[in-house]
Amino acid sequence: MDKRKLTQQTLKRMMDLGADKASIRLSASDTQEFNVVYRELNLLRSISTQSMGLSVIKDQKSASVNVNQLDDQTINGAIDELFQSIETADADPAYDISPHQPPSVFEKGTLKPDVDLVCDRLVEYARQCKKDYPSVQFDATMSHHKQHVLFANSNGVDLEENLGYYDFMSMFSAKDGNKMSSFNFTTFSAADLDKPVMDMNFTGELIRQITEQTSTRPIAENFTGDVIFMPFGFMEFLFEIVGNHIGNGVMMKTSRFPDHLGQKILDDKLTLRIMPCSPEMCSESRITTDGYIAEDATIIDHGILRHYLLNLFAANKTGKQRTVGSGNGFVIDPGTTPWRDMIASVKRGILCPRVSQGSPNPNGDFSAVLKNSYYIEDGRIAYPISETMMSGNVIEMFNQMIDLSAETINTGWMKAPFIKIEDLFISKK
Amino acid sequence: MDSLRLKELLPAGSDYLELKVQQNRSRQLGFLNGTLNFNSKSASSGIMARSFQNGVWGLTSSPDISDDSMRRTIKRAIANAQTLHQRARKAEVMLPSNSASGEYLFFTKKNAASTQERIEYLREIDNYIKDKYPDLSTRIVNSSVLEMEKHIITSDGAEIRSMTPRTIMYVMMVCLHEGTPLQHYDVFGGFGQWEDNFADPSDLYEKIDLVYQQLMDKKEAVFAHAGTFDCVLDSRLAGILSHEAIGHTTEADFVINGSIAGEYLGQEVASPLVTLIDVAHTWDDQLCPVPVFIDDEGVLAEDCVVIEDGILRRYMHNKESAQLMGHALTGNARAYTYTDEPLIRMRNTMIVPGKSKLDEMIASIEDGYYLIEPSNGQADSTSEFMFGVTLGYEIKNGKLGKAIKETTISGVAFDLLKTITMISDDIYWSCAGMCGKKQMIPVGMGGPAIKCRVNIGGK
Repeated sequence: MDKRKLTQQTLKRMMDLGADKASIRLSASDTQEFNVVYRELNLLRSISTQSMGLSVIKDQKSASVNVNQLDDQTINGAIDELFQSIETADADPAYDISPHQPPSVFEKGTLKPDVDLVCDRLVEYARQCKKDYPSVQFDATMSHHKQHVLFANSNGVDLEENLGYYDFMSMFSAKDGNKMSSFNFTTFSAADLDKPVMDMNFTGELIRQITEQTSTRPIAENFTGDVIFMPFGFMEFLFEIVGNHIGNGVMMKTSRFPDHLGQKILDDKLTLRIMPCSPEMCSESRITTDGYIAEDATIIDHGILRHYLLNLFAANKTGKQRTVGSGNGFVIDPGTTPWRDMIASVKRGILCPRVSQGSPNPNGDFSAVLKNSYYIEDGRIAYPISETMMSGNVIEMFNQMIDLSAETINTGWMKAPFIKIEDLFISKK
Repeated sequence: MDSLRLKELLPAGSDYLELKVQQNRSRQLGFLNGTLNFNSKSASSGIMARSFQNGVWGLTSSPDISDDSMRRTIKRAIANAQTLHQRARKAEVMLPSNSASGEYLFFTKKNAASTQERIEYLREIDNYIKDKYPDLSTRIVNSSVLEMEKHIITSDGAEIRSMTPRTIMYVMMVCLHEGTPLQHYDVFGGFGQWEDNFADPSDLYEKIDLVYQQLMDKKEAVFAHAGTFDCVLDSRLAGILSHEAIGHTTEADFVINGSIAGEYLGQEVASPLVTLIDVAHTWDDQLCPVPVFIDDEGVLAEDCVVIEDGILRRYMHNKESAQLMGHALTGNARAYTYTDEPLIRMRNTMIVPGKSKLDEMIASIEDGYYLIEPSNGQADSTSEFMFGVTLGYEIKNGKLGKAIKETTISGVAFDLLKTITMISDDIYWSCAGMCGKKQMIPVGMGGPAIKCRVNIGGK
């Protein structure tokens, strides 16, 4: 059956059975994925998936179900289960569905992939890696992912999206005799494959670094200094702020900024946007999980909180207004300093491509292992380090930003520069 | 579906082929501050065919499980392998085989609990917390069921039907202390369906009281001192250490890609007190949290004794790594969803219990820490590890002192193992372990408590 017809028919059935409100999300995806394992082409996967998510609100009670078989028997069984589930649920005035919006069809990215080019780029990456960095062991995956989504609800919302993008992931380490480095990895989505992946998102630089990291040493002594985070190294801290302090954490009451709209909460050098509409955010959907058309917005404007990242339920639950939803396609505005110049200005500090950390507590305190990192002294990279930890407070970190680089990485779901933070405590084993 | 039919479908020229039908089912129920706010159910099923030919793999999956779809899926998997062969031009390779057949369907033998009964169970837990601890600002009581049902047949004669269930309950408490939120949680349950894990809510009250008490202890928590200390790692932390820091480095795919363990086979890597095993399914006559009798390549799953009396003895393998390294198969290949290829995955990884008592271990430390609850963990191919610690206490003069604030421990696991001087005589299995190596998958992590020297992040 035509999928749009199936969607509308299923929605109607839920309403006919007595739902006050109902919504449906029908998605299907196709992926072609080439894998390099142990430095050689190894696997070609062709993956098809489909999924139907159904949600019902009745007497302000809610339930949802997800199935991936789309025959009548499965769908009708799922609807029956929904209504049984509703009977035993609790009422909550916070349950709601998105309001009527103009019917829209979105299309983003490459929908007709050049599958040969996917393999060519991966083979090119493997050849380049083996030629230029023979000590590097690596696995890598390159794929094209195509997704079709239909979203409809009983308020007349009718949204459709076709999304197509390429994915690349590689994990690598180096071995020199019996000395070996830590592993590092990169992963990103791209709208096209115009460039070799080695030239994208500092991939070549990360692999070059790994060849230096077979000989590491601990720092000589504990100190407090500057840390320059490469964008991958900073992401976890950003998501901590987003999740625990301006997102769901507001509902969970773990946020340090529960009533701070319009107030300066973080460093004025920080401007954080969501840009799901941007072609650069190639893997980000234009349809939010709560059934709205996603919009671009500035979340933190020079340190001032402009929007909470709350979906409709969390907004209703907290008594706040839903403005932009839970957010996707995060972009940190870059600075103007070349990243290598940022190093030159460090008296004593660390260049940190990656961290390995436990979840910070709600207060923001954290400690983390500095992975693949370098000790910086008098403006120069001195040596790669091992067994070195960093501790601090996430919120204080976001108030101690000294500089942001001109260069950025774009993972297709996030774009960010290098970020320099002052006064972090660095400790040796 | 049976082996005979698969063999009929198997064309000449494919060195090895496997066909899988899989359904993953999940059920989430959860209360947020007394209201059932999480009420969802999910089922995802489909088929996967994987063909090995001339040293490369072709895989195709589809949610359509009709006979026609199976034929198309097998055909396309073989075509994918052929396409890749045109690019890779590898020599023909014969994969090793230790095929087995069996049926391992762990459906509960008890009367099924209805959704209503499960909700009432959770509500009773929530009410208990609300009534006894009114000072909490947030309560979360969630249950999560995952059932993985597979039917796999392979061209080398294996056939397996399995249903492996896991049911867990997550209880989280948040309180405000001097204007700052503090949180603590624990997870209960484990292998089995709901009925096998949760009978009477009052069975959990003692454990819930402990969660609250530990949250209160956090109000007085102090920063750990940064540096290296004698510590007792509770069994929960020792389990994640076994999995993340040792286990991953001894998975053969990591070894082939240059893990430090590749240098150590046959060498002393730990205190002679240490024997570390990836248990296939049964330990001490009890089923482990993730029992695997036959893996997803149809290989008979056997215990893999990774470290024996301090000596590194063995790596964990799938067919391809065993062929490449010339080692025996261990039965460690598993996949999470119907679309996934089997990867080398641990099953139930543990250090074998020793002879010491936990109290004696704590009493033996003058100035150190008793570290209990991990949050997350990551490890490296060098065996350098990091674990978040959400609950721990100072040890001063052999006695427990104040709780410590959330911190991180780190080190090089193969160095840490050499510092182990005591191992407790008990065993605890974590009930909710999930490992994320390309695909998520349930794992068992467990073991006794260990006394060792650990690097702590602090102030």
